[in-house]
Amino acid sequence: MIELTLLTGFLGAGKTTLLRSLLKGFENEKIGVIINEFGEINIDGVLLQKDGVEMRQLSNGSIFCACIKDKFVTGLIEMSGSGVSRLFIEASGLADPASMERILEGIREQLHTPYDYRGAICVVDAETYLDLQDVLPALRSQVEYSGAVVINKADLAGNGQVEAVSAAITELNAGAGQYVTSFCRLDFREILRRLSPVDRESRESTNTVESRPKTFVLRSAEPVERDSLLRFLRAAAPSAYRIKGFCRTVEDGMTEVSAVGTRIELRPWEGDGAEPDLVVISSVGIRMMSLIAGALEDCGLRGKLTL
Amino acid sequence: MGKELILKTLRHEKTDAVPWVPFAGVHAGKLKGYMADEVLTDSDKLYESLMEAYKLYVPDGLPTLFDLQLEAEALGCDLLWAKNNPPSVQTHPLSGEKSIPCRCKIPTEESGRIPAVLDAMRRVKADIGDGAALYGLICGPFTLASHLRGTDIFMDMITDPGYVTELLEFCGEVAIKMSSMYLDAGMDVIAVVDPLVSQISPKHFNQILAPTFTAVFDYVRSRGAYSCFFVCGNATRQIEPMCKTNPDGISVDENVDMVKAKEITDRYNIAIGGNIPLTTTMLFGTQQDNMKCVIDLLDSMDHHNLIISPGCDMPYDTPIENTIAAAQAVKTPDAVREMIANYEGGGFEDIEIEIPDYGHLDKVLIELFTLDPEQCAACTYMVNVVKDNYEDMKDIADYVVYKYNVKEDIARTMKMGLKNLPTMCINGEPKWVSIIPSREELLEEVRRCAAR
Repeated sequence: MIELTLLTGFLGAGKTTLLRSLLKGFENEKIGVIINEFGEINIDGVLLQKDGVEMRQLSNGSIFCACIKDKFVTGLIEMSGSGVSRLFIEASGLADPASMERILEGIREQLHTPYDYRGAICVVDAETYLDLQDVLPALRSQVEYSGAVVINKADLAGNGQVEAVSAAITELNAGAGQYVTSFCRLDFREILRRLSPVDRESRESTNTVESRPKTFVLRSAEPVERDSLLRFLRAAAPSAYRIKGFCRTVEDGMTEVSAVGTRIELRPWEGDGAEPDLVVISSVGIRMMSLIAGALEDCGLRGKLTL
Repeated sequence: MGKELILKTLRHEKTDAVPWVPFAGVHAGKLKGYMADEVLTDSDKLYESLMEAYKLYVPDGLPTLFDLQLEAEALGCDLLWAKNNPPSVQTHPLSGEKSIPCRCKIPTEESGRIPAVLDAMRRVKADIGDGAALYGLICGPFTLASHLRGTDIFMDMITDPGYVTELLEFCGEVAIKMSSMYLDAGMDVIAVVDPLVSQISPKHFNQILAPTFTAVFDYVRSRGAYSCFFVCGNATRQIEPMCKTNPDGISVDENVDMVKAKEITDRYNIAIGGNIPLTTTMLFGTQQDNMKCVIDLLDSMDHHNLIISPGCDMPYDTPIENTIAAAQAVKTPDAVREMIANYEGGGFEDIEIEIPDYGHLDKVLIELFTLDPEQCAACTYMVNVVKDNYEDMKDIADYVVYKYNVKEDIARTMKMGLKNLPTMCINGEPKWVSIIPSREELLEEVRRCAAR
């Protein structure tokens, strides 16, 4: 049996950080990872590249949406014959995982080694979750179908905010274990040990092609000043669910970029395989294109970062 | 001149001349004897046709393909093909099913006829990319949305504007992708062609359409390229909302009073192009009508931020000589203004012209009736085919060149009953009208006449 765990959570909540920690914890095992992103470009795949990890990347939609569900199913079947002992699936930020068990049931006969579905871990951003769950139904579904909920970024939350998030989660899914942390620092073996699938009937995912956010990709044609990049991110990030990826800067060379709301992080990238692509996931539809174009112009980045 | 003239105009800089952009879509195919469906599906034929249009019509800007159904076809609409027109959309995949297509359906370089179009674009770019600004024409998001949804979309705008906004945004993503592919293939200008924009209210345009159009134009600008917003029909009330979406240029047809429209586009410092009437003037008019139309346009407006072009895609059967005349008028307005004045004033009957006694000449007489052999490219090519091969026929033929800006030559052209220029007569018979013969055809005809 291959132990299968699903990781859900909104864009920027900390799924990739969590997955990184998990991979560290199982360095002696052959681990499989399926990474799913909305955009055409898979950034998390680069962040997680590691020896001994069997990785599949599914881009351009949610694995629970009809548009790439077939590729997800094929990936699951292939992975079941790859000799891994555990499989982690990192769903895209707006994934509605309600149909996960139904999908597994549907392919049971075709698997090389059966999966033991251990359930889903959902990561929520303590600072923003309450605002977002009202406008994005997929986030509620993520909590409802999770065996464990990690309330991350507690250090950034205001007074009483963690408690309020915890209460909202209890209301949606009283059976889920709740873990409060920052930077996803937790004893994951313990969480995994106690994890179990929720006792809730599987249903069709609400992920449809319509409910998918618009994504835009920016490529750095030449290194840019770090300060200009920061100014650009500050201008664009408030209208984006998330900005992530890599950009070449004059000061640091290849730089990992992560922006959630007004929180922007730039780190020099030491690893391999990174292409200088920034993915912007819009929260304002196609208007993001104009905001990006305007911000590039204002920050002197036109022609340096290209859409 | 040429490409730079267009780019300067779209940068809103002062220019010495007004640029000319003939919208030779399927009509370009006519120049090489190809039907509409051939030129819209075969990259070789499209390429040949565009090269011919470049040669004959001396464009400063040249559209590479005028087919607003290309994207719709790639997205699953069935098309009805025609010989003399671009195809029309027959089926609407979203008719009766109010949904948004998957982003995975957005056309790529491999979709539908796009590979053939990109191939032709790259070849044209390589050959004439320095000479003319190349226009990549994409289907506007609203027209594309209508292709996908059908006429229900007009009701949707009232009953479910949220849905139309979503669909528009999807079509905007398609437009951005098409723009991206065309820019990569070397296009200098992206023209967003949306005839249906004239069919809705400015309120709906502002509320539902404007953000998507703005996004497309902003994208093109971010790529360092230029954009134009083409509209057909009576878009008078949309000119200002269109300006606010921030294209570099707007193009209108004869249904819009261009003088008044230009007052608006000037306020926004946006170039305006148009608007030679497609049928009354270009298709059914004479060369003089086309010249007069262009001169009237030029004389009625300030030349800054101005492009002269047909109102929209030229009819397939537009007489070649009419387009040549329009080009001539844009290129040499002073000379043509004089021609038109003469033409209208008449009086040529008084000029004595001696018509040769064609039946009793010592040699075959080649007469080249031109607008102006230096300024009119088609005329130049026609004269050159004679000059370049004259050595091989000088013992059996003479040739003479007439210009339509010389009074005596105008009288001669009229006395000969010639309607279109350039025309090459052999022993008084109009043998080639707006068609340039090959060396072989010319020599064969001259030898045949000499043998009589």
